[in-house]
Order: sequence, then structure tokens, then C-alpha cells
Amino acid sequence: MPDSESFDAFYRDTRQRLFDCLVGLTGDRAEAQDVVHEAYARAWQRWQTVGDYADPEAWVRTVARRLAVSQWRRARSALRAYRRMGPEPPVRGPDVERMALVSALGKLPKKQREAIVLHHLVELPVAQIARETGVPEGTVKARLARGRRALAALLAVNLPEESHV
Amino acid sequence: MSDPIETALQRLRGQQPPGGFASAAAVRRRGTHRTYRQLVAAGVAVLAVAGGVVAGVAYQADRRAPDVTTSTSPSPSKPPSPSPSGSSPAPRPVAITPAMFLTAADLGPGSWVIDQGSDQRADTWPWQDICQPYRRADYPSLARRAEKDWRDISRTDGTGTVRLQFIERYEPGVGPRNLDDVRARLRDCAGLQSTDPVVGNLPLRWTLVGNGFAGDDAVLAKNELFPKGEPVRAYFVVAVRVGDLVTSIWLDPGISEATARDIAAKAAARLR
Repeated sequence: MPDSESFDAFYRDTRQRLFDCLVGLTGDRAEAQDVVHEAYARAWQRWQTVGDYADPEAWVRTVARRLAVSQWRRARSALRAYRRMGPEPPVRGPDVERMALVSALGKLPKKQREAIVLHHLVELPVAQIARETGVPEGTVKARLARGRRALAALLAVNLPEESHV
Repeated sequence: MSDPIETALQRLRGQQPPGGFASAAAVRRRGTHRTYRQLVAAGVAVLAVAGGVVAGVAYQADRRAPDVTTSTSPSPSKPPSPSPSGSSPAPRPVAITPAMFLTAADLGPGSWVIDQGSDQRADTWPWQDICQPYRRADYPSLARRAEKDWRDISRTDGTGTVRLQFIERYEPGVGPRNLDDVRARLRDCAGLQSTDPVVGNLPLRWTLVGNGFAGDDAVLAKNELFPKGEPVRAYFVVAVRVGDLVTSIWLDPGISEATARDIAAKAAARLR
């Protein structure tokens, strides 16, 4: 029988980070919510194994990223969002900057968006992003550099000298 | 000097899911149910292979390529033979095409993005998740669905509002039965429902509010959601049939019943 106490603690400690990551990747809180819950449900299915991993959070993050990129998930979660709670209620005092950021992230190519979110939002080092996404570190650095330039242009901000990655 | 990208992304941290985080117990239940469903599905597949029986026929029916003919369809090399009764032959199957979907111009004011749904999962019906429980066997037309496609429609202004349009094609003569199944599903889901505990048990209610107002047949359903301490929210869903094609459209809250009927008429026109 899997250890529910360790799973529950893992879920409580990591769910906000995963949710933040998914919001960055999908731009949609309802979709991020559904993906997060599904990813942790899958982790529980395999908790006897996943719970022993050195970094179970990396496992659940990878599952969630894969779920999030599926068109099927997008359609299904949108349908569920309607069924369960309708669209998001009107935002009290709309956060224009946040909306602009989500919109700008959504305009980046998927791989660049993924690198930006994992590095700047989840705060993963380049080497770990390379492991989780299955590409060389140089590719991650290139995606970060291109993504940062594109994002800076979309947000109309100036980047410091490119020594960040 | 702080990095402006880092600073901007800070704004995305710490938001809450619209329905709040599910409890750990609810997530574990979801995982356990998922395991159970996988075991059941695996068991059905084993039975089908071992017994050479037709278990899984419904699943296979959904997996057909759009224009694959069935044993009841005429062979391309032979002219269709007259039916035994001498009545007119069954209508020719019409494949789903992109032109059958609503366009931005049909959707009214606002700027829209329409995405193609590329992953056609075999085991879904647009109406299956509107309440629990759901048993596919209770809706006989589903075993005779030949094709399905959908579009994901969202506003470009960042509000995240989404509409969905599904189009399903059923085997010749089965389309009318599918609208009967939609009505049956609404009857089965009548009364106050509670949703999945994973997302917070939000009460909701489905009501059939209109029939036969567009295409060859149509259904207008209203969904009301009762968030705790907040005003009731409602939206409409329409199903429209033209021949053996059935489209189901999930509409924004705030769309009036009259507009819902108007969009249904536009959808019907695109199916003709």
C-alpha cells in the first residue's frame, strides 16, 4: 500500500510551484488546475515507485508538461471548466500587466516558452531543464536567449547585457 | 540591477486555481479511480481478443477513419442495390470538413481564435461529462458514431473565455437517434447535481429549454452553476442535427437564449 502521508506532504509542498509553472505554460488557470490535479493523480498511481525517486517533483512536472501540450487536454479541460464553474469570474481590478505577460508568453514558440518558464518561473538550472526536456544544455541556452529577446520585445523592456544564462 | 524578465514572471507566482486546490485525499481518489478504469479497459480488451467477440465495437466505431465505409455501405465497385422495401437508399455519408465549423464571423462581436482539435479521442461524447454517473451503454447511438472533430474557440483579448464546437457524424440513419440520446442524457442529469469532488463540489443544474428550432432537429440546454456566496451563473449549450451530422456548441455565459438559437441556425446552415 503506498504511503499516503508522504504523498500528501509532497502534494502540499509542491503543488503551488507546479501550478505556477502550468499557468506560465498554458496561460489559463482553469486548464492549469486540471492538469495539476491529473498529474498528481498519476503520481499517486505510481507512488510506491515515484515516491522513492530522488526528485519526484521533476517526475510530476514532466507528466504535467506533457499533459499540458496536448490539444485534447486543452479541449477537455475547457469543457470541464465550463461544466464545473463556468468561465473565470470577473477579475477584481484586472491585472493588466499579468494579462500582457500571459499573452506575450503565449506568443513565444512552445520550446522557448517552456525554457523561459522552467528557468525563470520554476527556477531550474539549465542543466536540469536539459535533463527534463531531453535536449543538450546548449539548446536550452539558445532557447532561453531567443525567448528572452522575444519576450523583452513583446513586453517592451530592455534586457541587461546577455550574461544571464 | 534586477533582470526584467525575472521581475515580470514574478507576477505569475502564487495565484490560486479557480476552484482552489483539491485536497490530497481527493487527488488520491482520482488516481485510484484512474487505476480502476485502466484495469477495466484492459479487461475488456482481453475479453475481446480471447473470445473473438464484439466487445470494444463501440470503441472501434469511433476510431474509424473519416471515409471508411462499413459493411452496410455500398462497395465502390458496385452500384448500390435497392433496399428490400424498395424505399429510397440510405443517405450517403458526408465527411466532416473544416467548412462545417462556425467561423469568427458567426460568433458575434469580439476577436476570436479558432484552434483545431487534433487528437480525436475515441471514448468521448460531448455530453458524457455533464453529470455523473455516465454509462455509454445507456446511449445506443454512440456505438454507431463514425467520426468526430472539434474546435476550441477563444477570445484574443486575454479573458480566457472559451467556446467549444464539436461535430459528430453518425452512421446513416443514426443521427436522429443521437439527438434522442442527448435528450435522454439531459433527463438523466436533471435536478441539482454535484460535480467531481476534485474540483470542489460546485452544485449545478441542467435544463432542457428548447427542441427542434434549427436544422433537422435541435436541442437547447441551459446549465446553471451555483457558486457559494456568489450569483448564479448560467450558459447555454446547443445541439443541432442535419442528416446524420450533429454539432454541439458550448456558449459563453452572458449569451442570451435568442443569440444561442441564432448561432444554432448558423451552425445548421454550415452543416448543409
